Amino acid sequence: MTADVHLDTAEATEDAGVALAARLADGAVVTVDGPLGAGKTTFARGVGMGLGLDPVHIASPSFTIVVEHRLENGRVFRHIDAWRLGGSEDLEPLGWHEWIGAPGTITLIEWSSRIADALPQDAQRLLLDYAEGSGRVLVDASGEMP
Amino acid sequence: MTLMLGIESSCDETAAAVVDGDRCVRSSIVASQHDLHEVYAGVVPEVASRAHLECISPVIRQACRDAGVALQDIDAIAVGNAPGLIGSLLVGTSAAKALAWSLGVPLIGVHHVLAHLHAAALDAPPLPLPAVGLVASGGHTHVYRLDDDGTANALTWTIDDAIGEAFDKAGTMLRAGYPGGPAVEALAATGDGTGIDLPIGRPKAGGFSFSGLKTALLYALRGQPRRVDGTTVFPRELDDVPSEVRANHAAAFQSAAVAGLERGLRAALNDAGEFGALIAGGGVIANTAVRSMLERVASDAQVPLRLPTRAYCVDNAAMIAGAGLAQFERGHHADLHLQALARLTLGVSS
Repeated sequence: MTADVHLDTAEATEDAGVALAARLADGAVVTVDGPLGAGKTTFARGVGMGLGLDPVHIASPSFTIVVEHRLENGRVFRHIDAWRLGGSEDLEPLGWHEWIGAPGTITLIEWSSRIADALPQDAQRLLLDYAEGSGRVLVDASGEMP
Repeated sequence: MTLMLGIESSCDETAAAVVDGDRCVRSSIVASQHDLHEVYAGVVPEVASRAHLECISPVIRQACRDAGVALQDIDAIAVGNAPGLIGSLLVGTSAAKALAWSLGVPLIGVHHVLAHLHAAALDAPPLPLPAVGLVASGGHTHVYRLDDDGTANALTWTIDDAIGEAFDKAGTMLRAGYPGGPAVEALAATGDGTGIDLPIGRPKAGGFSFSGLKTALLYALRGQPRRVDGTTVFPRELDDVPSEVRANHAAAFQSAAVAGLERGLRAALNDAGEFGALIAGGGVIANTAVRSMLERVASDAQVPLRLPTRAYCVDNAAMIAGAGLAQFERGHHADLHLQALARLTLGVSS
């Protein structure tokens, strides 16, 4: 396991997302897991900001499960919250197979553990959790079994 | 008298209603999937889509029967075509298109969130415009300015979770049940939140924030975490929190959530310009503490407050028909190319 990255504040979580966005290849799939309140949506907002989106439009996708953001370069940033999904069989009606990992897309999935069997092998798997005392820890768990 | 058939399927309610040009609700049928979704503590899109498919025709037939009208008596059809779960929206939108085509009547696409504000005009006098409207529900926490030309523009919104989503997640942490809104409210009524300090998010750029409140509640219930061998350990499990502690935290959570809603709303009112009424809608507006807060805010702003009855706070089709009538009266129709859209940002015309 790679070392914990300590994130003192919500802004630090957002900044970590911005930094990640700069390193994402076309078609990248990123999963962000962790308990309620760990900062998954805050991190996702940072990724969206790093991709050039206005942060005020990147809220929790829990209600519609998938939120599509059009990027200036014509690509699409999909922000997904699998919290309410029963399992990967619920992905089909969302059009999952048509766009997951496809060229011209960046996908970020919160609560990906609910759809673990459907995730691409090369997805970048991040974990957020509460740090000791205050703040959060960010762990890159890519390469480990989910 | 115009008769509008409204159809709603954006989330987990399949609904149809007949509303006349005076906004009298002739019928309103809501088939809820709460029982189906209770096991998942949420809405499952595939389950929701299938249930909508099974319900949509019987629900429309029942709405006509209860109103004492035949389909041929309907003058226009309004459907909530955005925003929502795409598979669910498609069911209602397809049904509405098919009916409008076969009956040869106008089709009207309605923004589901704005329709919540038209709920306040059902079985009630017309809405005084311009007005400011708050929609607070499981998916939305938005303040709009509604102008008398039918346009609506978002003044502010949540930067993270919707307030209803915060109630749902608090309901999960407090082991209160689903849906979280009424469950947390009922639990809060048995508790006393005095002395439990749950901070309310203050976004730098304005707007609402309920995500930090969720975290504060978690810390309050589980204690301060420690990192042990790469995992986070809390002093307590949620299942081990005593019931009276849960009730007191439910009360504190509700107070903080309502205070957060009040602060964002008051800030939006300051930027709203001249307006003649405060309107509210959405499932969270069924909450008694929220209704009391709105009465205070409207009283301070010296404008009338227009709230829907509790039955029209939750998702229903009468509000879709009501919003559809407002467009129909302005001659705004859609055509059969009307699309279901998971997301639609305002301003749109109402």
